[in-house]
Amino acid sequence: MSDKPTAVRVYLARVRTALADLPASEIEEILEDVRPHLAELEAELGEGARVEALIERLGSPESYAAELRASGGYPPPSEGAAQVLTTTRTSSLAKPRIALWGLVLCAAALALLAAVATVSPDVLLGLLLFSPVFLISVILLLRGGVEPVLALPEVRWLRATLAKGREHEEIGKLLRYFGSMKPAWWVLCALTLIVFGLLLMQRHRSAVLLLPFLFVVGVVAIWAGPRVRGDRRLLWVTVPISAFVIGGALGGFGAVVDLVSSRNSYPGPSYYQSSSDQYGNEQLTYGANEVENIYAFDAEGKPLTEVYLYDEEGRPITVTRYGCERASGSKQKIGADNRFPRPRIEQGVTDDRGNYNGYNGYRSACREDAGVPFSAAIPKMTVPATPSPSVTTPTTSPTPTTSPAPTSSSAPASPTPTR
Amino acid sequence: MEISQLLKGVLDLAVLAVLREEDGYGYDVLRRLRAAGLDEVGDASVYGTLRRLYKAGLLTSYVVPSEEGPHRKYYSLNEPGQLRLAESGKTWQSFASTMNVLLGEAA
Repeated sequence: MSDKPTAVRVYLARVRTALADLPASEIEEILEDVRPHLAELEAELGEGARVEALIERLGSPESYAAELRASGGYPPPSEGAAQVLTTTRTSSLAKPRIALWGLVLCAAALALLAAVATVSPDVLLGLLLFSPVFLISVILLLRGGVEPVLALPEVRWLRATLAKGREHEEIGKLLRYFGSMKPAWWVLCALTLIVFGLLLMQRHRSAVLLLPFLFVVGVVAIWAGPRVRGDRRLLWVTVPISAFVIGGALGGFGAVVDLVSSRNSYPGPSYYQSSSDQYGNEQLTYGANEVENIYAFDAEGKPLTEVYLYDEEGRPITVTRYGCERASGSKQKIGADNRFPRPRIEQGVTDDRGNYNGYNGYRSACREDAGVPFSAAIPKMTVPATPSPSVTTPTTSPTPTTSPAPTSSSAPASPTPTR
Repeated sequence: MEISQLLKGVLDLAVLAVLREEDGYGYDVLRRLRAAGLDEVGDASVYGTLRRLYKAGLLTSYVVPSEEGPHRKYYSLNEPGQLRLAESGKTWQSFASTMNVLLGEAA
C-alpha cells in the first residue's frame, strides 16, 4: 500500500468518520471488508481517480455508512447510540475530553514557553506548572484508550473537516504536500531541540543539564513520529514536541536577533532593563538607580541653573519634563528636553486661603520649586585638572517647612571621599 | 414491488447461500450475489449483513494476504451457519410456495 491519500482512502476516511461512534475494532472489521472492493474499483477507474468518481458509483460515504449500519444491525448514528448509551456516554465524555484538552493546553503552553524560554530560561520552570495537567491527560488516555477521545464530537468534526479538505483539490494538494514532509519534520524537530539546547547554553551554563534530556526527546520524536498513524496515543508524545519546536523556532528568531545585537553593542551585563518612562522618553540611570534630576555646580560651588546635557556623540540627553497643571493640581508632562536641573515638583494640598499643606488643606495642589535643595562644597584640587565628578557632598538639607523633596534620592546618599 | 424491499428480508439467507459452496471475502460475496441475478443488492448492505451474521456466530473469518492491494478477509459458513441456512431455507421454500399458490390463484 502506498502512503499517498488516494480517493479510496478519502472515501474510507469519511465512512470511518460517519461510523465513529461504533467500537474502533468493529469499524476496522467493516473497513477490512470494504477496502478490497474499493481498491478494485479504483484500479478500474485508474490511478488518478477522484473521490467524486467513487461517490458516483457507491453513493456518498455517509449514505454508505448508513446502509452499513442498517444492514449490520448497528445503532443509527445519533438517536440509537444516544439512547442506548446516554448514561455511560455523558460520564465517559468528560474523561476523554479532559485528556484531549489537557493535551491541547499543554501543547499551547509548551509552544509559548519555548517561544519565551530563549529570552529567560527561568520560564522553563513553568513546565513544572503544566506537568500535572499533562500527567492527568496521559493517565486518562492510558486508562480509557484513545478511542473515546477520537469519538469526541470535536475530534470527529476536525477529522471530517480534514477529510473534506483532502477531497478539495487545492487544499488536498496542500495537505498531501505537508504529509509528504512528515518524516523530515521529525528529524527537524530533533535537530531544533538540540540547537535550542545549545542556544540556551550560550546564555546560561546550567542549561547543559537540559541537553541530554532534549537529546532523548529528539530521539523519541524521530521514533514516534512515523508511528502515530498506527497508534494515535503517540499523539500525546508528538503533539507537545511539535508545539515546543514550533514555539522554540519562533522564539529562536528573537534569540538570534538578541544575540547579534548584543554582539554589536558593548560587552556588558546581558540583562535588559526597561529605561523608558511612560511617555517613551529615555530615563537616566546611575548604576541601578533611576536619576530624576541633575544638579550642576561650578568649581566655586555655585549651582548652575541652566545646563544642557549631551552625550559623547552629541546627542541631547532628553528627558521628560514635568510641570504643575494648575487646574488639577497634579504633576503632568509638559515637554521633553535636555535642560537641567529641573524644578522640583511638590504635590500637596491647599485650603481656601491658599495655604500650602495647611491643616485645612483639602484641594490637591502642586508647586514647582526651581531652587537647589542642597549646596556642594567642591574641594580645591592642587593639580590644575578638571575636578573629578564624584566629589559633590551634600552639606545641608532642605528647609524643614517643605516636605522631603522627591528628588532627594538622586542626591548622593553619602559623601564621597576625594581620591 | 421494489426488489430492494424484498431483499431486506432475505439478504441473510442469500449471503449464507453463496457461502455454502465456497468461502469468500466481502467483494466475492457481492459479486456472487450479483452474478446470481440479485443486481439490486447494495454494496454496503452486503458488508453490513456479513458483519451481522458473523457477530451472530454464523460465520467464521480468516485473513488472506494479497500480493496486490489490501489483504482479504474471508468468511466461511460454520456449523450454526449451516443449520441456520437449512432452517431459513425451509422457511423460504414454504413461504415462496405459499406465495406462488396465492399469486397463481390471483392471476
